[in-house]
Amino acid sequence: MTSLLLSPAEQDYIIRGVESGFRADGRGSLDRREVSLRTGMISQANGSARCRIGNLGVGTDVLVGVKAEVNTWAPGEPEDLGSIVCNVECSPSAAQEFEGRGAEEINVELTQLLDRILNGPQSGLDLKKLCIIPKQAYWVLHIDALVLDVKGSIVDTLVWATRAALMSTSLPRVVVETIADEMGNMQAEFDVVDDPDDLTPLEGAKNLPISVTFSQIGKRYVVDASEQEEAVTQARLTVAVSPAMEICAIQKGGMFRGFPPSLLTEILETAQRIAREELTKFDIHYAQAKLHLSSQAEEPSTGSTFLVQF
Amino acid sequence: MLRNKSFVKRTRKGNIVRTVKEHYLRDDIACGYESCKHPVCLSARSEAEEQGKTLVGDVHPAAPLSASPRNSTQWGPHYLVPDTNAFVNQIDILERPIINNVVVLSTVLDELRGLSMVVYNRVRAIVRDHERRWFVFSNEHHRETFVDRAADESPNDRNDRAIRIAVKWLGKHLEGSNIRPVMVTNDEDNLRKAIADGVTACRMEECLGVYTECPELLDMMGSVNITDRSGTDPNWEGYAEYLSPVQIQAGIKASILVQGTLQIAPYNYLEGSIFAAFPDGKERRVLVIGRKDMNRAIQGDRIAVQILPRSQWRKAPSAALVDEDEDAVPDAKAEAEATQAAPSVPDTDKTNEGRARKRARVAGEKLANGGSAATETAEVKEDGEGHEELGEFVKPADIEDDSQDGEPTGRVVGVIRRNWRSYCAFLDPNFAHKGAKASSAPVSVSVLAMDRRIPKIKIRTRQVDVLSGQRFVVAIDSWPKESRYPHGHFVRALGDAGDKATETEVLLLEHDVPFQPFTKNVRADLPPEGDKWLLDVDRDQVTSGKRRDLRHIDICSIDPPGCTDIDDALHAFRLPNGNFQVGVHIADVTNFVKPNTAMDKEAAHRSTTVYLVDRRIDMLPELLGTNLCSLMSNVDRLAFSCIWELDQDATIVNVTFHKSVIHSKASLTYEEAQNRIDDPSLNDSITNNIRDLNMLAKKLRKRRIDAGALTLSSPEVRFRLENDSQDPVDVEMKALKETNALVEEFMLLANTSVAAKIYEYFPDSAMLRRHPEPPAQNFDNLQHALKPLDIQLETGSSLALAQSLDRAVLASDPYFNNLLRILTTRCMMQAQYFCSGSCTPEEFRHYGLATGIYTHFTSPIRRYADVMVHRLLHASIDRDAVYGSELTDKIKMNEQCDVLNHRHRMAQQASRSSVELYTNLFFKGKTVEETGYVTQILQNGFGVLIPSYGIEGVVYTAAKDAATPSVLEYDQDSHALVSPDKKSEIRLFRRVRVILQVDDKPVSANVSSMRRKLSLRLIEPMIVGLSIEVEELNALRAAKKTKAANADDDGKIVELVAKHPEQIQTI
Repeated sequence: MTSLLLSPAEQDYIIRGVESGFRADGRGSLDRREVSLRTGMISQANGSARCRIGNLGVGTDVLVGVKAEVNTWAPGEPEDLGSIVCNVECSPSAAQEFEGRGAEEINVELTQLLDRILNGPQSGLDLKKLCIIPKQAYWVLHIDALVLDVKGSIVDTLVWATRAALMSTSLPRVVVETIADEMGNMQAEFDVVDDPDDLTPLEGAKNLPISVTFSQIGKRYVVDASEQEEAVTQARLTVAVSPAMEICAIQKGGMFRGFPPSLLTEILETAQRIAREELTKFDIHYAQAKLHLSSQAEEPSTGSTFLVQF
Repeated sequence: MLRNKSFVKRTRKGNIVRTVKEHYLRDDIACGYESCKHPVCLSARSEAEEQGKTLVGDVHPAAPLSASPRNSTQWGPHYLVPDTNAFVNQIDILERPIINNVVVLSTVLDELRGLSMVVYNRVRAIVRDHERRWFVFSNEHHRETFVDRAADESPNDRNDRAIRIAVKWLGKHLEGSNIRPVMVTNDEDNLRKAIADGVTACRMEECLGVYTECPELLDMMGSVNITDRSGTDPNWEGYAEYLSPVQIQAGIKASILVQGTLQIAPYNYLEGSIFAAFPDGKERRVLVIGRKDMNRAIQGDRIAVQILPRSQWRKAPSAALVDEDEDAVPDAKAEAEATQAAPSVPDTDKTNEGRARKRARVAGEKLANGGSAATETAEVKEDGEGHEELGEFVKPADIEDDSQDGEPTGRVVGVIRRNWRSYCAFLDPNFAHKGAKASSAPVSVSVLAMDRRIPKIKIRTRQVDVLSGQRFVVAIDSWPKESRYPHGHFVRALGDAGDKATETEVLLLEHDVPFQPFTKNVRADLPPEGDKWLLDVDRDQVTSGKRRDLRHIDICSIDPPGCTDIDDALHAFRLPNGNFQVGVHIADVTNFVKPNTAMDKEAAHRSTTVYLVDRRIDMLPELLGTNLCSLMSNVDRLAFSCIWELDQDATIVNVTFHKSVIHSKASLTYEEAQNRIDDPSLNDSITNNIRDLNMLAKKLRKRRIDAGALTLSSPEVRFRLENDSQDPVDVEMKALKETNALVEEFMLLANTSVAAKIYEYFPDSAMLRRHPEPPAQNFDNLQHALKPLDIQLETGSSLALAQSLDRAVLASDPYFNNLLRILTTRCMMQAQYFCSGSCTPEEFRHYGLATGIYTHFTSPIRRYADVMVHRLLHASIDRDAVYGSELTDKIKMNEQCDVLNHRHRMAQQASRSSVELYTNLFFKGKTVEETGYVTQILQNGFGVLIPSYGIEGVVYTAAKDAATPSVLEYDQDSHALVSPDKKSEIRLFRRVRVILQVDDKPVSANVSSMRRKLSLRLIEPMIVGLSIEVEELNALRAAKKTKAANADDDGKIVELVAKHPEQIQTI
């Protein structure tokens, strides 16, 4: 994805390495890098998470905030559904080519990808639950992702962070009350419960898919491609797999090659297997992140602990 | 940092915002006890001293809690720590100066701010008053008293726990000092938990029991359960439940409901109305009739209203309610009426309507259709084909003007914002007689507010005997739906009813007039030289040329006799070119009142000087108003001058504005000025100036009237008061002299010129005054009444109106034209201050004065609007003038305009009430026969104006008891009251003779004597059953004669002098 400049010798080294089952950083072709995950990073947001793949200093880092807003229904919109609006932005400091307007293209690409995964029944989120009053008001979840650092495998990191952010999202409770008009039709209005602790977690966030991105290098493919590997990737396939092991989104990227159907089947099967492992890993990390958050809150301290450790 | 405190709220736009704040805990918060030995408290005190917070009196501002607080046998020396509800419900008690040494927890303050800003501000004000020794303890930021909300704890429970923990901590902290903090709460659960926790706690009653010297404190307890008679009344089914705020919002949004501020008719407390904006953008009046439909809403509340079915709309005029002696009367009467007159009305609408509404409906049907209710019902059904059946609520969007259905009525379905205040009231005499005597046990009584628009209020009191015959202040706490009347509590006694001082205080309180003496802070802003203040040519910028020296010009002032606050002076002389130079000099108040000082804020709050018959409530401290700013003769005074060059026709050649210093040569009364004009032997320069001014004024006036300025009339009276007692001994109408008009003319000219100038420089934030054109329907009743007299009022423009008024003369009755002008005045809209940015230039018009733009500039001593205009004008003429946002902030200016308009209106009403009070005092025990004119037709009475006293009263045609039907019936076609035999009728403008009486029975005898109403009884025309009987009349006349013979006339009479606002300002 990035246009890291590699000499033909370096390229050759990576391609041949991958073809013979060795990757430049020593991983096997289906090995993933270490992940660290934190939630509740942004206090003003309804849910947030930061996910880093790779070690400190060399890794891909994505911060996602979820902000819920109430929208008034307008004719032409679905009558009883909420909606999700995604926006991905790559920080100019994440990579050199993002400077200036360099990130525009990738921003659009990632935004669309995220939107395809999340906005619809395939995401597992119950959008009906985001409707407050049909044909009147509904919740819009603004998912704003900021890519802070890019060292390969940006899509998977983004989905990880988004998943964690949505799982940590809770909405203020709203109370809907109705009044009958002269025709006997009910007119409704809602009010928000002003209690910071009376929140409802986002329904169906646990069903959100996880993505696995395969990068074809030479005759083989790898998952969780590093920056160098991405520079020599000819084709890329992102597969989103739900916890029910259903494949809910596939996106092909990379313009140098395509995938033969036989390889595609293999990839999809592999994707399911990896997704299962990734989901387990996600759950552990997410639980740890939650634990970290609550342990932080428990310790009263009058000292200045402005910097929250990441 | 400890915590993020977060909360969610809905913004006005409907979005939901989550806010997160950081919350820090500290361990250096002091306890507030003045001699606490704890190191933290010691250092806090010394730190405060270093910062220069020295003792105020003997109170340490940083630690005000006294070392020797109140001692009680139960707790020993103690501090009170009330919880939030104690403040909300009992603020009237806590405000009493006797309650001191109170700890206000920050938890409580935070809660208060959310619950009631009014109470919060009152608590804050007490805390600022160091003498009271109240202390705010920041327990929320104290490390040892902060508590976190437990998992399943409600925010309320958490706050209660925080309060308990804070009290406990204080108790421990103060252990060595022998002083105990006592938590005051009326929450049983909290109380129990506190005691279980070892915290000293008590109920409000117990805590007040300590103040044995003030037993009335217990009476002031708010929100106690009041046992209600109506609870046992089988006919009383309670009020309808309100809709929830969210439902109301939905209803208004969906145009099912309309909202507005409830205005109760002054003559009928069961008739209210709102002006509501309808979906088509127009504003219409919606009536709310009867207690049931008003559903616990009180005068001034902002309410949501559902429009009733068209069949229940009202077609009859308003009925005046005779008396509220017995609450069952109107309802019972209505019921009787309903059953008598309309036996054939189908019962379809019985399900959802109250009795009172039925009364209105039935009356309407009866009147609209000549008494045949049955046909009326049929008709309603006919024209309501299909979409509207009897009994269906009407959607506001379906309402159109000129509908045949009468005026829309509605019922209150919710209160959006309460507008409860304290009310001056008196004990319901019916209760006072029944009341248990000589018992200290509290009894429930109902009290009547002086403001007739307020329903009876139930209070509990232990001092029935003391209170009967007294005026006192009560506050409303709540109005549960089971109770017919609101529940309230006693606040303080004002004094005996009928006593002049008491009654004056009542009227000041009732009109929301701030009449307390000026505070120390305000007085501190006065010039330090006091009355020794002298012009300093350097300081006052005369030498630098910023202020023009006009001391050489012959300036004089013309005012009513005895006027001490002279805010205007004039001069005129001929210029070499034959034109005139005319100057209006206005006291330069803004030289002394600088923006945002305490004095400025106080003046802005007061907004206007209020003139009562016997006293004046100043807007500015006396030193300024009657001395330094008063343009007295023969002293140097600072002024703001408006100087024109006028040609022979009084056309403006040019105009300039200056800050100036003047030396008035004479302060004349209107009469003196008039005499100078008329005396041909006088030829001094001042007299000649006045003659020139008079000549020019006449030309100006003519031009103004040609342009359509209205000459309206309102009856103004002046009292002659006895020197010592200030009792009124005579009433007379005010006479106007030519010189009044002279001064008025130039003031108008100055105001108009200034308005144009400030609008030019501040197109968005000039403070102006406008007078909207009255809508034609305001004149409907008047036109109707004029028809038989063959007089037509042209209301198209002010010019047409003025001309048709001039034409409307009856040879038979010279007073008729005056009367017509009085009635026309009542059809006018209120003139109001506004900020130029909030209206289109077309709306700037002043209808009554027929000018395109107008403002108030000429009376800065007694009107705050003028102070603002002075600042604006100064900024317009002086490039170097420094001014802040107070002159440019549109929003602030608009808010100030609202305050000014409100105060102005209140001040006028207060003056009127004061006149009324003195009228009643004057007529006390007297019986006077007078000629009057009918000015108002009501369903069960008519209003009569008595020109010689300028008073107005109602003659009731229906007796109080429901048994006897009204002598006169209302006839809609002629808008008159007609007797059944059609022989006699009462219509507008009719001349009548009446007898005026004020009951001189003991004040507590009945409601009307408590109200001190003037009663009017008809003598002529003679209508059987209504007019006073001949025998009785003769008896009265005879009694009067003997009285007159006995009356001893003492000559010590002075004429009361109060400079009433010029006549022009009433419009």
